[in-house]
This record gives sequence, structure tokens and C-alpha cells, in this order.
Amino acid sequence: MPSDPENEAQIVARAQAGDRDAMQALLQPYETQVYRFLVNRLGNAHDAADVTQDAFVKALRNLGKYEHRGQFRAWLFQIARNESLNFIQKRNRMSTATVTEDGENRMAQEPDPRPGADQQLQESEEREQIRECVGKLPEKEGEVVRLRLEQDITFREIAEIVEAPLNTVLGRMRNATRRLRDCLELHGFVPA
Amino acid sequence: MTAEEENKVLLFWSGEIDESEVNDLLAENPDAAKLLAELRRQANLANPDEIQIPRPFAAIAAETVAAEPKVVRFPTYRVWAPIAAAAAILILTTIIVFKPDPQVDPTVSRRAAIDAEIAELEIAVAELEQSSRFSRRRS
Repeated sequence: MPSDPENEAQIVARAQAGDRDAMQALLQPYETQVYRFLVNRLGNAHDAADVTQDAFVKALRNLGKYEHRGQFRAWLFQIARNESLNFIQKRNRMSTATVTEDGENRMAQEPDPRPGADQQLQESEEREQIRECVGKLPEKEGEVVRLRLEQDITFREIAEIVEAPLNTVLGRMRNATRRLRDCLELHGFVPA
Repeated sequence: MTAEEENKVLLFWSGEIDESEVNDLLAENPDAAKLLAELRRQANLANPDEIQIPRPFAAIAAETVAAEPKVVRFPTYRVWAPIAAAAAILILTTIIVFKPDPQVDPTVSRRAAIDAEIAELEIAVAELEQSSRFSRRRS
């Protein structure tokens, strides 16, 4: 696992030269994070799996364009984010053409991949509530919150991923924090 | 609390700045401490469950890309420079070799012939004038 920029640079160089093991070693540490990010973003495990795979392949094909300016993770997440945006646009275009005779939209829905999701719903209403509240956030604020709260990515990396200045990202997080607090309070969950 | 102060709390919470940069702020401003507590609370609530990946994405991607044929990129810059130089030489050569010779240019020679004829006529007219003055004097 790339633990420092120098080590990562060496693995990237080997991967760029076509070393299959290096390619795998470069991506493996981020499999779960990227997949989870896309599950939350797309709301569908099957689609998230396809988009994760596409993003990983695209990252390896374009490794020559990686300029080592930031961390590899931020660059990879940027690719995953762009792939998800393309997928959502495509899905939105197709969804208008897949309405059944009775007028229902037949988009495939996969079950929640997280183990014990039903149990969690019962055991922790507050956790579910914050997820709902995150879902109600404006898109750009929700994006920052998801990357920070759910993926534990730094604000500097988030700024790279969403291609916005750091202060803008921090501003979105400040606003989102207030909205989440208000949303939780509205549903009876006040801070201790 | 100012936006700048809130940002400091956010960056401290994410581990991007050191505690020493926010100690005073947290100690003196209760709103800063409240914000930090709220951020930790929300992070704790949003902490995701363990998720199992359905397939080995990294291995499949590495396999896919490693099996692709390598595209040999020809350095086109090595071709364009000589082509440009050859084109410039060709154009210059064409200009030099096919530049019209004024001596064989029919337009030029015809003009010269007309000028010569005019000159001869002027001389003839001058001679006639001179001879008519002479004959007037004699008569």
C-alpha cells in the first residue's frame, strides 16, 4: 500500500511501464472507498460496481497523465466522480425511455450491500436520520459532506476532487454542518 | 465566530492543521468548541458500516489494461520539422527558377519595341520641323 509520496511515485512509475502487479497494488487500497463512494452517490450497488470498474480501468489507461501534483487518491476519486456524473446523465436520458405501460419507471434496484442494514435501521434511527438529512443537502454541499464524513478524505483532497478552491469547499462544509444540525433537531435528535 | 475561525476548526477536525493552531481559539471561544463537538458527532453518526466489494476491481482493471496492445506513439514532431524545411526550400527554388526573365518576356519586349518606335517618330518629327524652318528661311 502506498504509504508515502515517494513509494507511491515508484509504484506509479512501474505501473506506467506496464507492470501488472504495480497496477493492482496502486488501486487495491482504494477499492472499498471508491466503491462505497459510488454506492452512496448512485444509490445502486450494481451500477456502483460497474462504474467503479470503469473508473479503475480509465485510471490505469490514463496513468501517463497523472502529474503527481496531489495524492493519487484525490486523482482517482476525481475520475470516479466524473464517471458517475456521466453515468447519471446517461441514466437520466434512458429513464425517460424505460417507462412501462402502467407508467412506472423500471430502473433496476439492487438491495443495500451493507450487511445488517435492516438491523442498523432498527438499532440506530439517528444514523438513518443523518443519512436522510445528507440526502436533502444541496448537491455541492452533499458531495463535500459525503467525501468528508463517509470517506474520511481531507478538505484539500476534496478541493482537488471537486475542482474547487479550498475556501469554497470549507464554506460548503460550514453550511452543510448547520443544515445537518438543524435537520437532526427537527426530527428530535438534539446534541447531548 | 468568523468564517476564517470556523475554517480553522474544520481543518483541525480533518487533521490538516496542528492542535497548536486552534488551542487558543477553542479555549477562548465556546462556539468553536461547540462546532468541533458537532462535527465529531455528525462524523460518528455518518460513520459507514463495513462494505464488501462485490468483485476485485483492482485485479480486473490491471488484467484488462495489461492485456491491451501497447500503442506506439510516433514522435510526429520529428517529421514536421523536416517537412516544413523541405517545403520552404521547394518554394524558394520555384521562385528562383521560374522567375520571369524580363529580356524574354514578350510584354516587356513589346513595350520596348513601342518605346523605340515612338523615339524614332519623335526624331523624324524633329527633323521635319528643322527642315521646314530651313526651307522657310531660304524662301
